[in-house]
Amino acid sequence: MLENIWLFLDAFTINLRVGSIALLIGLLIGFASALLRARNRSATAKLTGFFVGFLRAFPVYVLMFVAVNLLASLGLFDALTSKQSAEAALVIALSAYTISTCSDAWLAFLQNRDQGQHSQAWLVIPNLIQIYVITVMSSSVGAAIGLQEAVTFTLNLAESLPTRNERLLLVFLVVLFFATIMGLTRWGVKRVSAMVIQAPAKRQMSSTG
Amino acid sequence: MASSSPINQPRSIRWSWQLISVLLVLFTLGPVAHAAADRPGPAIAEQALQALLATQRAASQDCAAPNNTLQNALCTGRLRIGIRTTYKGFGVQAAGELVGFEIDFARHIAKVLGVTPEFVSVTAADRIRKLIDGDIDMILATMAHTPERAEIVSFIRPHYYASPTAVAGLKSRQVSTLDDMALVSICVPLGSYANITFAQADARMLIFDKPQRMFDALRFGACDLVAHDRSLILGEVTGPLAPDDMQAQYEEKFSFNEISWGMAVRHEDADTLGRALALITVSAHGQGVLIDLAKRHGVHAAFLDSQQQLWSDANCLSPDATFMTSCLLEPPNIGDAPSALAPHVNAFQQWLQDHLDIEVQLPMLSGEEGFNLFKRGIAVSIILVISSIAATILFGLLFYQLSRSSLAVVRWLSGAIRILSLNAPLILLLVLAYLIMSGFVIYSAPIAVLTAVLAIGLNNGAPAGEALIAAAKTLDRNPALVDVLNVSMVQVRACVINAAKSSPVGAFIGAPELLSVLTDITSFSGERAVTFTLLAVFYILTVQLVIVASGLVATRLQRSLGSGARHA
Repeated sequence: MLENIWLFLDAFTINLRVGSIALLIGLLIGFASALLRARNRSATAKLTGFFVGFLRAFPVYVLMFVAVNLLASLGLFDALTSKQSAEAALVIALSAYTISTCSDAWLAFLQNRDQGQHSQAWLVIPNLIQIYVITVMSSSVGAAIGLQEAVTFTLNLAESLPTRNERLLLVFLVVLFFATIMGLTRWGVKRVSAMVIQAPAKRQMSSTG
Repeated sequence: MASSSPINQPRSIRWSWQLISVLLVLFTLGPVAHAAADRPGPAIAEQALQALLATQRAASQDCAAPNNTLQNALCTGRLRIGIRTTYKGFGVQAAGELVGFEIDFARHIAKVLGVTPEFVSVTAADRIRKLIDGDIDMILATMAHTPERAEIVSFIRPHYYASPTAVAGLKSRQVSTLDDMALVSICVPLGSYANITFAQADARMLIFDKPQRMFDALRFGACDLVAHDRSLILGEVTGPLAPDDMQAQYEEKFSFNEISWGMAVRHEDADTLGRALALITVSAHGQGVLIDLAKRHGVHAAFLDSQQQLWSDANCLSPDATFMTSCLLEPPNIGDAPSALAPHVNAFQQWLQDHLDIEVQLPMLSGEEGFNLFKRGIAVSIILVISSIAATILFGLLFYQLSRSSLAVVRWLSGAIRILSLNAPLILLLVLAYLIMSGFVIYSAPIAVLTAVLAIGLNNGAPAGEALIAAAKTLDRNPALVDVLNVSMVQVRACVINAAKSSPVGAFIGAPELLSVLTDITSFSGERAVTFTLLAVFYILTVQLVIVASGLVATRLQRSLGSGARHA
């Protein structure tokens, strides 16, 4: 039991790693694209906006399969092992999500900062934390291409259990695990965001008071 | 002066000469005649081969003008043979040296022809192209003889080997027939015709272009089963040559579809090099050379024993070494039959090749099975997208209504389900839904679609419900639903778009939507670039359509709600 929990957490580190790499890509490209989009009415801004919109509309699950098959057919994964190429495909797919959402978050940051709403601008931090957590959760789709992350580990473990009820219980417990992390993050982000938004009003009240 | 001519010699001396000549002929030809009596098939083949080689040498005008591949090989003393270098038991590079059944057979062929073999590494994907492009003179590279391939290259018959497709998996895994394979994940080689069978059995295929990568994936648990030619499964997974850890964990579950392997040459070389290779194969079968080589490399198959029996006597060869057609195996018709659209598709592909120099394959349109799967995939995808959107809206409204229930237990329970559905990864919700559904009904493709719709609806309906509940809090104590919808329109629309984006995940639990069927088509056609580009385009267009349509509906709804409010 304890060994399986350790193995599960070990597999979960793959979700964290994949999520972190995708977020890093999203942060960098998203920031660059937000800078370009912030140039109102320019052709570059429109083009970048179209690119971000295109990535936003691309289903992560489909993009992962497109990456694993299309890039492999072009020989781009030749130097990688099957494990590495599965990870690379998943990172590419998740990056489409992180680039589009980070770009939106950075754009809001830049616009708020330019309008002098500094405390609103810092809402970018809880937003990015939420994007990271969603990315880590979404990395569970890697199970479909055989990546040995937490969901694949769970499904393999469930397969070894003798009865349907035991399998159901195991999957339910893992759903609870993910839901708790995600729920707590959403709650934390909401609280922090509320505090950030209310901070200037409170400052104003205390200064007038 | 006495003449030395025997004609002029006395009768007794002439008789003595004739007797000596007869004895000499008998003495010289005795062993050959004995061998021919013992192994008439191989003897006839060898005789025919020597005659063919002599003719070809003569026709090349002392190598001044060799005009076919065989003449060229005989003149240059080199024969370029396309071989596999990653196929255990048949052709691998070990410590800088090539070893394997096919490597040794290639060396045997070169020795018989009196040339030096020049090995060129080929893969399943490029072996035919390399032959057609003239990079190699012949293929001896684990290639199954199929009618489709035979249109492009000439296969050598008799075949030198045959292997069924074997399915192996963990010893603990309960799979014994194709009927047990629905939803089971299986690692398969790209472009294998056996994959049509797995597609029809609703297995979930993971495709690999290199055998080593596939077995690597099996080892790290990416799939439950692996399928390949039995010869390779023996070498890598279950046989005595396989690594110990693989042998300990895995076993062969079942096998099917024995297919003959053939060497191949270009069509124009069929009567020269092709004929020479066929005669060498007859001799190698008849004399047991191929059995010895196969045993040496641990890939012996019953097919070789039956072929030795067949070709060791003269029943399959006429005196001029013509093969009896009844002794030759026909390629099995296991490929995808042409669809009704095939002539138009082929013409279009040819047009693209001729005018734009673009080589495109459209197996989802040109093959009958591929086309049927493709049509079904598109229909299921559209149903899945529309149903997922409908389920999202319905679950959203349901969560909102339940949150307003007068019973605390209903509010609490619906809230718990909403929070769980909102925060759980979709793929786990799908598995949970699958486990529940399969406990009550016989799991099938329509049930898989229904299960996917419910899970996607829950996952996206939960945030839609949250948005409605949050919107209601900003309005009066008992707001009308239309007003709540009006306030939360943006969030609800985002959930609807997300439902459309999530719909392909249904493939994970067996919903036969487009992603699932195109993966199946790729697995047996071998074409990936166009197939997956098409998939990407389909889903991008679908999501864009949902974005535009939901935008129009939202605007119209907000307008009508606004005008309604004004009238009120």
